[in-house]
Amino acid sequence: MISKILPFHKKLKFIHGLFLVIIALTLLPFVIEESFGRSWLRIFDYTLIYVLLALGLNIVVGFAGLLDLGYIAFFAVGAYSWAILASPQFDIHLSFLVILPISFFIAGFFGVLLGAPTLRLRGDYLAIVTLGFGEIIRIFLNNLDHPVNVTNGPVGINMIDPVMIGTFSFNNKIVIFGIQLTNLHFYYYLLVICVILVIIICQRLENSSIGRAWVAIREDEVAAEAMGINTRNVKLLAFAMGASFGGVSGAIFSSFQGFVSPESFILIESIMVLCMVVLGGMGHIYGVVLGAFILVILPEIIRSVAAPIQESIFGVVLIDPESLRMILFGLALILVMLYRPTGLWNKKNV
Amino acid sequence: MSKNILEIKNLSIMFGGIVALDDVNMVTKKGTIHGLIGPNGAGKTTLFNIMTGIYKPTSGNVYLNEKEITGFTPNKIANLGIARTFQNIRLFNSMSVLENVLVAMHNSMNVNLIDIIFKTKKFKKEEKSKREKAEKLLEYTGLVKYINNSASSLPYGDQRRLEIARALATNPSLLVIDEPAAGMNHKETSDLKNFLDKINSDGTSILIIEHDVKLIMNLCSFVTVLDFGKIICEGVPEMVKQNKQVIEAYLGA
Repeated sequence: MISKILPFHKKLKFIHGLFLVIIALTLLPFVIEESFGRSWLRIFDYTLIYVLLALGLNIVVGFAGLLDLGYIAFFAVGAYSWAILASPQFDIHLSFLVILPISFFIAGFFGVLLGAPTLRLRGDYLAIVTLGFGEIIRIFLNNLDHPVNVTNGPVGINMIDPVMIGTFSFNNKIVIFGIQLTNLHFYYYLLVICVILVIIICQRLENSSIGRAWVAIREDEVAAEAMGINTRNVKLLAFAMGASFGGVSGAIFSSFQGFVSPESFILIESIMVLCMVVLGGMGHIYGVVLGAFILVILPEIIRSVAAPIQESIFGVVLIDPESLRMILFGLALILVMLYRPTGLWNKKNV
Repeated sequence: MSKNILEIKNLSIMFGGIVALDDVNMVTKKGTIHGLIGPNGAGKTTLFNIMTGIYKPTSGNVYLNEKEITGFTPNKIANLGIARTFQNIRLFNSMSVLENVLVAMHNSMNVNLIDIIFKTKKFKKEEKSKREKAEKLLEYTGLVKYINNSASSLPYGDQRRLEIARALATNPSLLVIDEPAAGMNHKETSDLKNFLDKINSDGTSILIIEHDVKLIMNLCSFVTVLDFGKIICEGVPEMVKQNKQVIEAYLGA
C-alpha cells in the first residue's frame, strides 16, 4: 500500500516543483525589465544564446575531452543557414520550424566534416586544427560574395526574418492586461525552451552508454578502444551533437539580431565559449550554464558600474570601462585556474 | 585435443630497423591458463599489443577461435572476444567503479540515439539489465563494496582487480593480462592467483605476462618464454624451469 502511495506523493511534489519553476521562468523577463530595464532583458537573451553554445561545446570538450578552438564556426554555420533561408538575400522565407532542424543538421554535418580528419589528433594538435577550421569558415563567409553572391561578403546579410508563428511575427508587439510583450520576451521564451530541451538531451546522453563512452575516451582513449568502444563513431557523434546545438543557437541568434556578418564569428568568440565551459566546470551541465551566465553578465555589470564608481571616488574616469572589463576578466580566469582548477561548479564539488 | 583459442603464425614486427618480434609461433589452448615470460624488452607486451590490435604486424597472422583477426581494430577485436588489461593500470579514473564496468559493456548495446533521447522502454530495460549484470560482476570480483567510489580511490591491488573486472565485462573468451602482480605483496599475489583460477575454472581462457616466476609456475599449465623477439622455449612449467637456455636468459642460476 505505502509503496503505491509514495510514488504518487513524490510525483505530486515533482509536479508542484515543476509548476513553480515554470511560473518563475515565465515571470522572469518582466522582473528583469521592471527592475533593470529593457537593455538587461536583451543581455539576458544573449546570455541564453551563449548558454546553448556552452552546452554544445561541453559535449565536445567536457564530455569527450576533445579540445575544440573553432567551435564558433558551427554557430556561424547555423546563423548563416537561417540568414540565407529567411531573408531577402535569395528571397527565400522559410518557417522557423523548417529552418531550425535544417540548421541543426547542417551544423551537425559540419561537425562531422571537422571531426573526420581530426580523429587521430589529440590535445594541442587537435586544438590547432580546430582553430584553423574556425578561421576557414569565417574567411569563407567573408569571401563568398563572388563569383556567386551567397553570403554578401564582409557586409553581411541584412533584414533577416524574425521567427514567425503562423502570421504572428516575433517583431510584433502585443499588449496583454496592460503589459507590453515585445520581441525580447518572445525570444526569451523560445530560448528558454531550447535551453531546457538541450539540458534534458545532454543529461540523458550523459547517463547513457554513449555518455559513458565519451567520458571513457576523455579519460583514456587506448583503454576505451580496448574495451570495445568504436572510438571513431563515438567521437564523430560528439562533434556532430556539439555542432548541432551550436547551429541551433546560431540560427536563433541570426533571427534575433536580424543581421549577420562574419565579424561576429571571430576567434575570441570561440575562446569565450571555451572559457564558459572551463570556468563553469567541464563536463558538468549546470556548471557550464553558470559559466555562461557569469561570463556574459559580469562584464556587462562591470561596464555599467565602472564609470560611475570611478567618478564618485576619483572625480574622473581613470580606466575606461572597456579595458577594465578585460583586466578583470583576465584576473578572474587566473584566480579560477589557481583555486578552482576543475571549474566553479564541478560535479565533485557539489 | 582441445581447440585452440588463440593461434599466432609466423608473426614478425619491426620498429624502424629493430626486429621486436621475429617469426613467432604460439598456440593457446581453450580453457587453459597460458603464461608468457621473458626478460624486459623481449617483446611480450608487443605481442599483446599485436593480438589486441594496437599494433599491426609486419608479417604473420593471428587467429582467434580459428578465425583470422590480423590487423583488426582494437574495438573490433574486443568485440570478438579478446579482453585485456594493461601493464600500467589504465582505468577511467574519474568514473565510479560501476561506471568503469558499464563502459566495457558498450559492445552489447542495442539502443540508439533516439532510444536514449526519448528514454524509451527499451533503453530503460537495457540500462537496468546492464546495471544488474555489472553489480553481479562486481560481486563476483569482490569489488561490490566500492561500487560508487571513483576508480582512482581504490587501493592498488583492487585497481588491478577492477581492471580485470572491466575486461571481464566485455564477455571475453580470452583474457590477456599484462603483469598483474607487479608491485603486489605476498597476500595480494596469492589472492590474485585464486582469483585468476576462479575466472579460468568458470570458462575463460587466460594468457598472462608476469615476472613473478613462482606465480606463473603455480598458475599456468603451459609456459612460453620469449627472448629478443624469439621463442626460446615452451612447454609445461616443470620443463621450462629446467631448460638451460631459459635459465641463462631469464631465470638465472
